[in-house]
Amino acid sequence: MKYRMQKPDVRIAAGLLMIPAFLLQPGLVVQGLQVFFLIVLAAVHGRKIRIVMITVVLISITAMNMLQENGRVLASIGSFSITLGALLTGLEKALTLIGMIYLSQYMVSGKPRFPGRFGQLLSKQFLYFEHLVTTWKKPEKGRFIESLDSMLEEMEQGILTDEEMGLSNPPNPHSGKADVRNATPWDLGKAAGIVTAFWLGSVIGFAGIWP
Amino acid sequence: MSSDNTPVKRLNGIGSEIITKIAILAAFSLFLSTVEYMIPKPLPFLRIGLANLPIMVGLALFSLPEYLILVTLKIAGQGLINGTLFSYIFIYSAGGSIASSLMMYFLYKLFHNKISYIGISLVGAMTSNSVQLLLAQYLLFGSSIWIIAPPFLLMGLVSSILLGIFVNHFTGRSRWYSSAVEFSGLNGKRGRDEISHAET
Repeated sequence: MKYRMQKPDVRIAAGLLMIPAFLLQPGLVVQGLQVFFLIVLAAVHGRKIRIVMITVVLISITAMNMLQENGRVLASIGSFSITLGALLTGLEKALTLIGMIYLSQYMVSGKPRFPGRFGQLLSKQFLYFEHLVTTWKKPEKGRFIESLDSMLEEMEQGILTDEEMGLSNPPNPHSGKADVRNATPWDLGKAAGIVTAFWLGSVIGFAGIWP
Repeated sequence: MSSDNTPVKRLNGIGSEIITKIAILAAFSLFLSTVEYMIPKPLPFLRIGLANLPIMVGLALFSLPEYLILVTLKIAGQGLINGTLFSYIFIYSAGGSIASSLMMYFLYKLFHNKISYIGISLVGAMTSNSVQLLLAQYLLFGSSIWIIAPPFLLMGLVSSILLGIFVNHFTGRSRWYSSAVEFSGLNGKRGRDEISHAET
């Protein structure tokens, strides 16, 4: 049987192909550029950029790693020394985490469907989730449990009716609509371009041209 | 691979009503996780653990395989909705959730007449936080992670007690829960005890 890749799977495949170029990157400067690339990539594909989250992750992980002194001392504050090795290790780890978060965001931005019965169950979970998000009202004061209870009962009743009605094609995560279109040559070409650009940039680091 | 056009009726011998209950609780966990994601945190990995509320409610309703499906759905759903499915965050989430869920499940099954949801929640949170600290040590921070261990564990302690109190109230007053317990037949006695306790 001829396999046709579905549209959302293209981004998953592209992301998986970019992971080695990112995780094996030896140069910190190139890694920083890769992270920037991944953030822009995720933003272009509709994901939110959280500057505060990026800043907090960068500072907290770097700071935590600097507590373990390693290498040349760059500066001292009282008895605490900022060392080059610890600073670089912290930055590398922080960039890796931020980069992987945004690479992950790009990969799931196509609203992938997962195969098999578990995939269907996951879709069903998102069906209920959408129902919760769209129908949840702020509960009356002191009646939180009752509101929660009504919501749970309503969902169970509602969905049983859906099943009786023959709900046969569970919706996609996030969108509520199934997206089972096959990937077009344009989708594949675009993803190939992104992967190629990412790998070409990474070669600068692998070749040791940039630190 | 099953066809996409087949409704989810049975999964490894689990009936459709149970599957519906699992999906509802998993969706609710996702909803609470989204609420929590929007709450500002001093550090990205510090969590209140709201998403564990449905996981605790599921303790009395499901057998171990069913319960593990609920936990897996929670982890996968969170990874998808937050876009962290292919990142380190997912490893933290999965490690903490699986360890704490198993601990809570066995604790509940072995001692449910002797321990309240507060105790179960507390043990679950400490297990989850400890596993996450260990993972953080090996994956990102190194041994300096243990400097933030006291506030991290303290926050887990406080939030888990609050969560446990809420689950105690919920399981005692919820009509949905009482009918689900009756339906599951796993811990009907406990469920009825809780309901009669709440009524008195």
